[in-house]
Amino acid sequence: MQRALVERAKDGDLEAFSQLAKAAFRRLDGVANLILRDRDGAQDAVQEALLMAWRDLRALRDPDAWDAWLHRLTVRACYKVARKERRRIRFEVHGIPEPVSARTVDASTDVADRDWLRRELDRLDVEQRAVLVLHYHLDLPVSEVAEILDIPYGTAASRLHRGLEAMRTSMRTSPGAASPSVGKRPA
Amino acid sequence: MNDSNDFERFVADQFARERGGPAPSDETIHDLLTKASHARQRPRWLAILKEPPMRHASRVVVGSPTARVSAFVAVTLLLALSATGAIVAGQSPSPAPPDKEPAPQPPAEFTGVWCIGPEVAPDRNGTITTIELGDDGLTLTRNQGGAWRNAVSMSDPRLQGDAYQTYETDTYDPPSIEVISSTLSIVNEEGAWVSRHYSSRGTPAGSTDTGNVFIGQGAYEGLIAFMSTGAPVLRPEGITAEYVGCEELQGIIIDDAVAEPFLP
Repeated sequence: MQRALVERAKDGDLEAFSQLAKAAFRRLDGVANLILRDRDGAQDAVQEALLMAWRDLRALRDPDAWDAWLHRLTVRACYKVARKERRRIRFEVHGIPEPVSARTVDASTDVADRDWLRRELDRLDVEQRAVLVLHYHLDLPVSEVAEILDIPYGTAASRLHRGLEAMRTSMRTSPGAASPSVGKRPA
Repeated sequence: MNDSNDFERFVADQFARERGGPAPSDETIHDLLTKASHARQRPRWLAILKEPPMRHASRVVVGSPTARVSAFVAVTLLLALSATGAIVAGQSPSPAPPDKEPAPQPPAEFTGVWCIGPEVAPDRNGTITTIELGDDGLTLTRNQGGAWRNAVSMSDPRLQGDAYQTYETDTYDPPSIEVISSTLSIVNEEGAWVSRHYSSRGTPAGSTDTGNVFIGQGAYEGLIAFMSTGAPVLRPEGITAEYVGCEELQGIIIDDAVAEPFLP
């Protein structure tokens, strides 16, 4: 089904592309949101990724690689948005960051766990986030993550390990931070 | 179950729970399709040239490495010129090959598991040095990476040993060209296997990667191991809990019978 849609879209069928975009949008939006940690930026990145996919669709030799390629385009668009954001931040004065609310330090709730994940992602650089998101959120093996990110396997593995270690260290060394309910299975 | 496994599972669970966000609004999709309808699709030849190649399961599935072939040819020509220059400069020619070379051996297949482990050079990791390159504001940011101890469990005893990986990044800014070099290695009493990777980002050349090609050293000199990784697997018995992200792998070991490049 998807393969046929990709083939039609390659031939310029916008309706087929529309179906592909609708099917992928939510997943890509989730990926971009976790990598960028910014709602508007994530929407921009997904839009750009899908537009790039449409424009260069004829470069896709194997229609079965559509999803993997979309993931690559999305991460690439996220990097672009993140670079723009870094440049913007250099010239802007930011207010005092909002303090961690009492709710987020309640380690016993699922909400606290989720807040903990988002806060920990904020501490990582965008490249580490990309590896963690592709590996854990999309459940892709590290080898495929490396292919999507166009980096060597060792680099992907390093970023994954460093990201995990940073999260673990942060949890151990930040007494005020939320302690996730490690070992507790979600409901 | 130990803390390490629990923590990784916890992280995986949290990521999994972020799945299934809100569906895109009709307005969002309409906006996208309006833009797409105004953007012409590139013809195949141009799209293939423009889009960086992507490999999936060892096959090129997007683009073409053709553009990079041009760079490779240029480098080969430079090497040929250098070799010619060296000969002209009077360097002694390389020794004549032996009369009779040993017969090549058939490839030896192997399987195994590779897990990612703790950092072994934390002091070095994260050391950033910025070097000004001229007066134009161009800088080189050298980010020293670390070294990590990994664990392997291999069917071929020659590949069994202490595994390591290293990682370094140089960034030229502007225009933000990133050069990444990393290694994977396996060391044991007899010798070592080393795989080097180079890749770049922000350049038209894209990634230049030798893949998981391990060159033998010591007792393994003259051998090459080609390795590919597969699906995530549970940590095998004998590998302790400090190692995470285990993946199965497979490959072959061949003797160094790869043809020498022909330089006309």
